[in-house]
Amino acid sequence: MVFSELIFIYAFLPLFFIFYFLSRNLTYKNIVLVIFSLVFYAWGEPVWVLLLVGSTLADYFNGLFISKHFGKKTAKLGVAASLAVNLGLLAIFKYGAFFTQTFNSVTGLALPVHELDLPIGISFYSFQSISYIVDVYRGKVKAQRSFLKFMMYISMFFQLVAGPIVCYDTIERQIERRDISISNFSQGLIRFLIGLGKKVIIANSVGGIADGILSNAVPQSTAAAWFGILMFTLQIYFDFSGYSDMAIGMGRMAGFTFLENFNYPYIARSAREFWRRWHISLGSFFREYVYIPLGGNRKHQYLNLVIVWFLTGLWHGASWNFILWGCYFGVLIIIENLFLGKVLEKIPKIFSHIYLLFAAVLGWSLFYFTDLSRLGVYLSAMFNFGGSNVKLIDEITKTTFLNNIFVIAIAVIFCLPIIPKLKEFFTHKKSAIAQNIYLFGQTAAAITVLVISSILLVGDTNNPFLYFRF
Amino acid sequence: MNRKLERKYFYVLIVLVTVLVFLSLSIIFLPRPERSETENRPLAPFPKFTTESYLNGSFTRDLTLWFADTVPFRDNILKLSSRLKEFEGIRQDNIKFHGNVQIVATEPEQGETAPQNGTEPPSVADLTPEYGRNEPGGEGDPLGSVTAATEPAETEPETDSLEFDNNGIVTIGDRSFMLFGGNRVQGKYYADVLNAYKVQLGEGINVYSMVVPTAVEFYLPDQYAEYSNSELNQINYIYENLVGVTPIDAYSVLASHTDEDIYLKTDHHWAQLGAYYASIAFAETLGEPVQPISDYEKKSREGYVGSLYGYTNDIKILESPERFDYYIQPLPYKTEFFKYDTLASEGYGSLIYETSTSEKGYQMFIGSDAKHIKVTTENKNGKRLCVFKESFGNALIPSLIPYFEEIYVIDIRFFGMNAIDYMKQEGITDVLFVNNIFAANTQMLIDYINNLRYGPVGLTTAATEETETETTLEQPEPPLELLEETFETTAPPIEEIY
Repeated sequence: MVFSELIFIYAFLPLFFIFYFLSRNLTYKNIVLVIFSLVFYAWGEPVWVLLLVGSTLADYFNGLFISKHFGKKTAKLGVAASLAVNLGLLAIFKYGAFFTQTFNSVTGLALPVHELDLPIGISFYSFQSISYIVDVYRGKVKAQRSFLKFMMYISMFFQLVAGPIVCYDTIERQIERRDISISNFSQGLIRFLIGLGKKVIIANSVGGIADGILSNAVPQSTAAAWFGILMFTLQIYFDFSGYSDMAIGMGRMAGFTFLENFNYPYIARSAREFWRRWHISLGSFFREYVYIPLGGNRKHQYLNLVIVWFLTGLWHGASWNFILWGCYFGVLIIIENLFLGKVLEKIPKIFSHIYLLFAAVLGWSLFYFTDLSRLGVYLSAMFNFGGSNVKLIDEITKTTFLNNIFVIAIAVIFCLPIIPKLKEFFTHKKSAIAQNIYLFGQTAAAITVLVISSILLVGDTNNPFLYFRF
Repeated sequence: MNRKLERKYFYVLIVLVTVLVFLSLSIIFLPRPERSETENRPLAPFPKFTTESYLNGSFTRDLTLWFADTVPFRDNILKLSSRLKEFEGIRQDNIKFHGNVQIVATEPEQGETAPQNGTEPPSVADLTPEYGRNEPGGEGDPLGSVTAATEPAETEPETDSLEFDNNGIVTIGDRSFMLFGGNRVQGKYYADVLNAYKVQLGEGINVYSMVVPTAVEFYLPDQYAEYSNSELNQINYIYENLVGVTPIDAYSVLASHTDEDIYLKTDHHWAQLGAYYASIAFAETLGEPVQPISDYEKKSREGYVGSLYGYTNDIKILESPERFDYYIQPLPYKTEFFKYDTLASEGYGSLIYETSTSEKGYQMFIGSDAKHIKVTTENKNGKRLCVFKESFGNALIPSLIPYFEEIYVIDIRFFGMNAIDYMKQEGITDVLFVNNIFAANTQMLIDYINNLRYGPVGLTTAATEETETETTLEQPEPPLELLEETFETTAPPIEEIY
């Protein structure tokens, strides 16, 4: 199940909250949350739900073991066991085929390649598990004695399948005591609906345009190539940040405060800043559990950066283009550390914005094309390298742009921090009227978004892709 | 959070939760539709729960689909959704494109279109007409669609789903049509399959091929020419590759009547008038005197919205319904319907179902695609025609009545017998393959035609064992490598095309 489905919004979610708030005490609430989360997970993965429970059970005991041997060398065994389980599962399910293929092509052998279905969300929940184990080892958090609570932390359906990666220490307190209040629930619901709109109204629309261009063997023209990748740039931001908004919103409704995962990444002025604003929970994870343990800024910093960005790329998918994409950012960040960062701060803002946008958009083309030869074709169309005899602009691109001009404009506008600015404008004066206007506007906007999204979702099942087939 | 603010949020909460609860209750408890009239298709059914369907994930997947597909008031919400989509942007010159449109047209000079996908089509010498039987490509289950299509009463025939790959759809003012990608390799395959029929049927039987151009060929503004391949070139290419099969030039006669309503504006089919003009070309090839259109009784229905609305969800199509004209053949004839698989008679009916509701315009012709039909005329010239067609052929049948004693109509997707045996058994004298150029360029459909030479397609058959053995003996092993090569260079999965 994904959040942007009618059955989730109108059946699963209301049922969950009814049972959740009918449960007066914490244990019942936790049971409700775990049961709904497992049903949610099993919706897409009826079998792999066992894997989720199994690996959670393993780390529950690993945590207890580490806490029992805290401060002793034996505690390391628990960490090792946890890493073995989590990274092992990732290696098998996510990277198995990729590793064997790479191994085969390097050695010339022909080991059988098993393409396994990737269990949904494994990349997210295994990282959450690791963060917990390492934090227990470091003494940053106490081991969770209740399996129910630990299971709840790992399996919470809000962030189970697409993040954000919620580190245990950030919600440790709320596992014991929820921050449930009317304002949290209302604001969480509004946040959820805004996320829904980002996904359904914006991401799906611009995504359709992007797909139309990017899936072609050769872009129709240089303009089409740029248009396509720009639409993908918008799509991936609204899709992913919309999903995070929905997760954060639902968490808040249930009394959890998750950290923000996106902070208007496209207004950044350097690659470093971009990554402090894009998928923040992943960046923090790699900083906390890879970069700093390796020695961080103090010891062989550049090697550490290379490792972190290689892994960041690899995390996004078992394919060379993702590694390339990660390393591309790694290189940009190293260059910025060396000298470029200072330059970017000194030059007029507009130039550093252009630099980052250009870098990010180019990055997305690496990210999109898993087939490197197609990437080559696409890039040569974008930059009109010799040999790519595409035109500068074509009629369809013009017409498609006009056919979608308003939705594109909305997308661009909401890449800017409009909402925080509005909030500040209406609330900083502490005037009751301004505050009322703000609350009213927010509520009206949320309802509008809900209605429009629902209508569009109904229209979506009339999906030509479904029945344009014979 | 101070208490005053908390109280304000209480109101926010009341409003939001009321809206959500209201919508949830409506969507869960109101009656759900089972089919969509605007899209003319059955909606997703409620899935059956079995341990297996649960464990392989299909139950939950189908349940999700059912929930979204059968939302109460679906057709009205769909219209709202189409209206909302109008706010996405503006239409310059009233033009909107749907789907993934690619540049496909190559050199405009006659005849020398480069092959698609950068590969040379196999040369004639490489390919014998003896293609092996192929599993129809793609994911659609033709038999599954038959089941769905035969359920309603005969007077309420089902539409067919869109049968072929296309290069997106364009809406220009009140007219919409599909852009033509074209595929030479498939064109060659089509011609070869027809040639193979000719070889199997022998000298005594005349085989004709009519490849029908579509609206895009005549109504696409010049500035978009590169997004649609020349259908004329593709038709000519097919005709050049025919051996012993007589081509029928429907193109020229249609091209000279483009200012008349020869194509529907909201539907991917041609209009009956277009089919009538095409029948003139056939009559001329046969050397028969042409039956004038004035002989027919012309009837009209207002407010027709055809298949292209369902495919595009474009509100402009819904808002510009067209007049649907149809023509009643004055000559007497009888139409007998048969089950497509067992060929059991289902009684007599009409070639034009006037009783169906006005939305169903093109579906008025010869009832359902999933029927086998025999038309008996009062003409006693001893000529028995067998027509192989997809839905484009439906509108043509009434205009063929003056020229034949009997007309057998085989839908290439549904017919469940060995067509060669069948034609020999019925004493067929003439065979007509009438297909639109999209179909004649779509591998799955050509596979169907080809497979009918070998039939039955997994259904009960009247063919005797001897004929089956004979057929098997006559067919050499299919040149497999060759076929695979052909198919690799051709139709990519439909998702990619569209």
